[in-house]
Amino acid sequence: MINRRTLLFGGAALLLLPAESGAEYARPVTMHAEPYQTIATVHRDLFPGGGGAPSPRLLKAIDYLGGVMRDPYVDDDDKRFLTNGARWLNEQARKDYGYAYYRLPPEQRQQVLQKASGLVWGDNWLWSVLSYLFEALLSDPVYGANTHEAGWRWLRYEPGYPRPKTPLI
Amino acid sequence: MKQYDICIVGSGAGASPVAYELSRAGYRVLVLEKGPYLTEKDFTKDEIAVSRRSIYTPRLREEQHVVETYDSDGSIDRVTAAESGWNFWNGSMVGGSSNLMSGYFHRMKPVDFRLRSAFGPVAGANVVDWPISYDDMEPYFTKVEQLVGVSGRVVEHPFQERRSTKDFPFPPTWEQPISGWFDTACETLGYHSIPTPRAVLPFDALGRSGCSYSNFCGSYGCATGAKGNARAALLEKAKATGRCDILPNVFVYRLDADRQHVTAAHYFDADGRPRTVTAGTFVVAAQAIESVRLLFNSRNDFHPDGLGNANGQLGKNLIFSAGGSGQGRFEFARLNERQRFELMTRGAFVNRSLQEWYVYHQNGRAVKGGTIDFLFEHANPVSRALRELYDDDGNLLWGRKLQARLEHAFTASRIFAFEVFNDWMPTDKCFVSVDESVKDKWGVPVGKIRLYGHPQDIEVGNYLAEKAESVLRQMGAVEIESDISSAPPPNLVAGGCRFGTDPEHSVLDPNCKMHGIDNLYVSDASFMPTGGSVPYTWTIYANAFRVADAIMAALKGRETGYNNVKDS
Ligand SMILES: Cc1cc2nc3c(=O)[nH]c(=O)nc-3n(C[C@H](O)[C@H](O)[C@H](O)COP(=O)(O)OP(=O)(O)OC[C@H]3O[C@@H](n4cnc5c(N)ncnc54)[C@H](O)[C@@H]3O)c2cc1C
Ligand code: SF4
Repeated sequence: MINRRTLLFGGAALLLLPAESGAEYARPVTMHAEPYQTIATVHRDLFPGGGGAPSPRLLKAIDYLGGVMRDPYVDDDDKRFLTNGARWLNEQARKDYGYAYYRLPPEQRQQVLQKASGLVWGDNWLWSVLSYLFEALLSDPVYGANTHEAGWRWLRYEPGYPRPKTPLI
Repeated sequence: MKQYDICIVGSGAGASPVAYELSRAGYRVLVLEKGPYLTEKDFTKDEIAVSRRSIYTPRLREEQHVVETYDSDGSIDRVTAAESGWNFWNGSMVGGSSNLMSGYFHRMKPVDFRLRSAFGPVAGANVVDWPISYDDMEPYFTKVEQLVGVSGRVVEHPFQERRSTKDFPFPPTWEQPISGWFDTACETLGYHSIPTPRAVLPFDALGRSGCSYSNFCGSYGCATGAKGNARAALLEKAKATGRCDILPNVFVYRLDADRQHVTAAHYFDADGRPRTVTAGTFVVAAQAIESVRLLFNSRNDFHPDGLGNANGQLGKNLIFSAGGSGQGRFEFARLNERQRFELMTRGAFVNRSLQEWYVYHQNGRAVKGGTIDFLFEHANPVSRALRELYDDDGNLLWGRKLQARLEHAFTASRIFAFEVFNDWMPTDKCFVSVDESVKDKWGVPVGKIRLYGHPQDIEVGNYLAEKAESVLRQMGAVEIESDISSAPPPNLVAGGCRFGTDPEHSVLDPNCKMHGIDNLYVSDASFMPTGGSVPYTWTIYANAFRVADAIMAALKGRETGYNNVKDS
């Protein structure tokens, strides 16, 4: 946590919207916003699905991330870090291959990921992206992700009872 | 306007026995609790809200702590919780963090009450004997068994403490088949396997429902009332007398006192308005760190260094449960069909612990050891998945490798864990104060926590962890590891208002009444000079019942219906 925060710097947090809660935690995000495009691509690269595993698209992982960005319980620094990390990944991709991450072919994206994971910010950022992706995979579907309990079914996971009827946040 | 005899700050394990006993004895009681009033119907097994977003604790941007640690060169590192995310809150709601406990209950042992006499001084530590003995506390341990509800089974073992009743009032909860594997391994190794007592009702009793084996106990509120949390077990009954009012969502920020009496408590109500209550007797039970903070923030001309701090003892000797945890993995590939089925039985409790080394001998001297509890890894799926993110060489995994690892972890193996509890040596280097430069959302200075773990804590923890690992190995687990460190578990905290006979070295007298103040008691874990080698809550409950008796003895003959609440 501490390491991660020391890396934060200003910069507009493109995705920050006013805090609000509601039944639709994971409602559709505007995919042309660059951080979402980038992170949606990173989701696919980190967790492609297949072999029984649901895809991030089926899980609505990117819409869930939109919910995280609106979530009043998630620290603003953490939200900024998610968007800043997407920006840094694109900067790295442009420097090495001339294009934003989400516009590169798969092999080059893997190279960029490999490089990023060796850096402190990159390792922290990928950890953060994966932790919210895992939330989309394993949260109660009441949050709008884990569609048809696909994540639970894949991992043969049985939830605890009583289950939430509405999101508590 | 209502009249109150007793005003209690906080509503958790330390507060509720006082509210229960005093209201039943005919006194008018007011409980002031900063968190909301949640009941069984509010609790669900929502990992995102409860564990990932910590909705039961304040947001650190609004209410936090300052945490100081020692660098290797002895200098002090200072960080605010808002910067570091280091959360020392445990559970803000009626019933306090007892709502979220797992309910592993162990009595302190006779030797814990006389640590100094039994083992002598420890260099760099302030070990003392308690001013009361196990025998003084025993009736109250028994009372907790009966009123809060503790289930278990007494077995003979070298450190079984004396009991005034033959067995627990409730039989053990439903047990996981792996408990049998554990018993067999212990038998082979010559260890005494102990059924862990639990503050969980196995069936409907005491006006509450029995356990539904929800598989999500620790960190989660109980939807049946089976867990012996302070609200379900005691406060609801206190309320039913018609003489106990519980005010949720109110934050007590100062106590007024003259030379010898507390005269009023000031709080912000749910709408943020400052209010005042006066009462005949005040009881502080806001959990160790916050109780000390309130007493510091109550300084005035009579008590310029804070209430109870005439001798510089307030906040000193903060302790936690020392030790740590460990785990091993059971791989399906090494098990037969029946064993796999047994391993995956869900909901039931492991309910096993070892106290074989509560005192052990090393290099010709007796050493105070501790307790080891055994359990399965918490069922929280997101946390479980996150533990699989790195390979054995510490590289972040992704893609198909990550998917395969997750699949294996969830469907072809299960992690069996243990927790080690040993004494955290009280020292001059570990204490609580307030930080005047950091304020909470009400503008009140926050608590500052200085952390230090004595080297002996880690030595003992490692000794016990090795023993625990030997059991896991015998059971056939692989990937066995443990993590013993001086990192404090924020949920197992005590000290800061030591009780004792000598006011020079303690804050409270043996009845937990503040030295020099006639009507102020502290009834949470702050009173503990040493913590024993067990989780604290059974002792907190028992002691608070003892304090309730002391308050009633002090009030005998006095008029009731004495006080009121008013706007500031
Ligand atoms: C996840 C978890 C698991 C645990 N498992 C176990 C276990 O297995 N076994 C065990 O023995 N113990 C366990 N514990 C510890 C146990 O919960 C505590 O030891 C016990 O609840 C402490 O009692 P207390 O009265 O000191 O504090 P609490 O129960 O926390 O009560 C303090 C109350 O005071 C309120 N408060 C604080 N400041 C103010 C203020 N200024 N004004 C008004 N109200 C205030 C708080 O909101 C809180 O509700 C666990 C705790 C947690 C969080
Ligand atoms: S029902 Fe049982 S397992 Fe579930 S929270 Fe209550 S006591 Fe724990």
